[in-house]
Amino acid sequence: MARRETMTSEERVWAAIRLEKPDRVPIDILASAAYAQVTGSTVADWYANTDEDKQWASIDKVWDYTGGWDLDLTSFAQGNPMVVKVGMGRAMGVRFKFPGVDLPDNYTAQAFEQEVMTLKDYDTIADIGWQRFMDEDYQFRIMDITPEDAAKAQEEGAGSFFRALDRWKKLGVVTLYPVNASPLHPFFRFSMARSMVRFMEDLRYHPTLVEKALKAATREYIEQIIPACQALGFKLSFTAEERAEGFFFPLPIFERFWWPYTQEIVDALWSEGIVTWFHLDQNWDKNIPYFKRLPRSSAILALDSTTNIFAAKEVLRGHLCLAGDVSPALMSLGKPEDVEVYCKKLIDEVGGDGGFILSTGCEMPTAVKLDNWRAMIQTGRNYELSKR
Amino acid sequence: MKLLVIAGFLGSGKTTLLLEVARRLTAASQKIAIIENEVGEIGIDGKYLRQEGLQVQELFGGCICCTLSVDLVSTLEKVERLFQTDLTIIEPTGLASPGDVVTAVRSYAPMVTDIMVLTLLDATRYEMLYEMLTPLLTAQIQSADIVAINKIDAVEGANIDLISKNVNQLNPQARVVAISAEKRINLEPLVMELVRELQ
Repeated sequence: MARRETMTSEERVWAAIRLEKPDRVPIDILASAAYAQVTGSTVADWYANTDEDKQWASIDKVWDYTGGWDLDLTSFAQGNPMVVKVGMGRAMGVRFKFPGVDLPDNYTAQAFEQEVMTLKDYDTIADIGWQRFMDEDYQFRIMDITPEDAAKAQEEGAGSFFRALDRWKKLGVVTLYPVNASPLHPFFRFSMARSMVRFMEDLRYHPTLVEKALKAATREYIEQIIPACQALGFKLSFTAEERAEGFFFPLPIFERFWWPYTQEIVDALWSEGIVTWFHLDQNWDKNIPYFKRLPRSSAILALDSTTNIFAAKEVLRGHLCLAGDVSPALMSLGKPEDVEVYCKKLIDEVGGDGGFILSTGCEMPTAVKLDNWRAMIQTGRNYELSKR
Repeated sequence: MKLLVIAGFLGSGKTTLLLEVARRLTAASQKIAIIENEVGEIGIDGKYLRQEGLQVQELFGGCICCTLSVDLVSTLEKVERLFQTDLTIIEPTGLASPGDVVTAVRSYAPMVTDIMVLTLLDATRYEMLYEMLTPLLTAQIQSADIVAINKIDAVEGANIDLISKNVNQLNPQARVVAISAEKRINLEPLVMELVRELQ
């Protein structure tokens, strides 16, 4: 006879973060436009949507069909395309191409990376901070908007966000400091804003200039996140990095330009009881051992299936919680039974002694099959409880 | 369907070589299609390639998109459905490891029977790029069947020897050729070899 759940989602997630063994593995979903095709719409329609309730109906439909999850990073509805455009542009600091406008209808919205931030801007950022630079100047370089558009979009976006928080709270789902607010590590932010090639050249030819801006942006990041988390009651804060890893850069670059700022962020947040959720895309195999230097349970590493999560577990066992890593390819190209087999392997081998959250590798792809989504959720919900 | 992956960091001359190979194979009555993987402003221009009479499919999701392999496979399926090509040439983003492209294809694209990877290196920037992006360049070299050291007209011969030696150490199996795609130095034998292999 199957055991029953004995924890709430909140208890389950925090048990995993504290490296304890929960009643069953907690499940996290990072999805946005993935709700479109599985509910009979298109990705283009998702981004062009003007009816918030309609998007919530899509999210609810997937929630009901799959059985629901414990932790959610990005699922919330918006009813104004301008809010989406401004929100994504400001969050990622790049121009976006949207399906139905610049791309075919069912493509994922695409960050259009180009050199928008200039070399001189590092000094400006060091002087006035990234946020003021974004508000007063940069957002108008990456989007064809007026200051009024930007202000209105941010106000409406905040409204959607708080309505989403309310809905997830009622369902008992754990959320974290908004992914769509200020989600990028300063290193990743500069890489996106300068473009990868220019940023790499900056690191080579203007390292002290970059460092000056990194120091200022890191300080500002901490000063923003802590009071915001405290005001909103969040104990988890999201930060993304997709460019600093050993897939691209050798370790001396990582050690000089990424790790010290990362440690500073985690230490500052942890001293206020806030845990950092690292969204780490691409292959971090060579960088994983560095995370042992962080305080125990102070962070979660969410891996995208490119990093070897099984090897990472061996390194970080008993030190940091891992999340991952059901790949977008498996979710869209695989079969439900393939998803089930892989989730069981993750639960057994990475979650065996706790400290693991079953999660989408990177994010749920827009081409996900609904039955694969269900297989992931159902395996997470039932596999351990069904063991006698 | 056969697949040629033309890899290399941004600005290494992939498009020039791609066009040359595509023209030659088309002239040899091969049905070919090109999948271009855009990464911001540096991506190749699909319209330009179409003006050359080539079948082109864009593959978006180049710079930060973790769903790239999904899009790659669906694009390959589309290419097969629309064009029934003998050969498809992929120019992945300069930030990709061709090994990841090969893995995605082998895992999820059974219509592809053979894959060849050609990696281009920019001889003029090799030292700096190798210093700054060692892992990425290493991965691009190690997954290659052929490594073409490009822009040799702009560097000293001794530098080409050093690059060649470095490549041989990283991938002893790969064939290494030195070319200038723009000045057409050693281009003909490379293209002929590719045409021979891929027909």
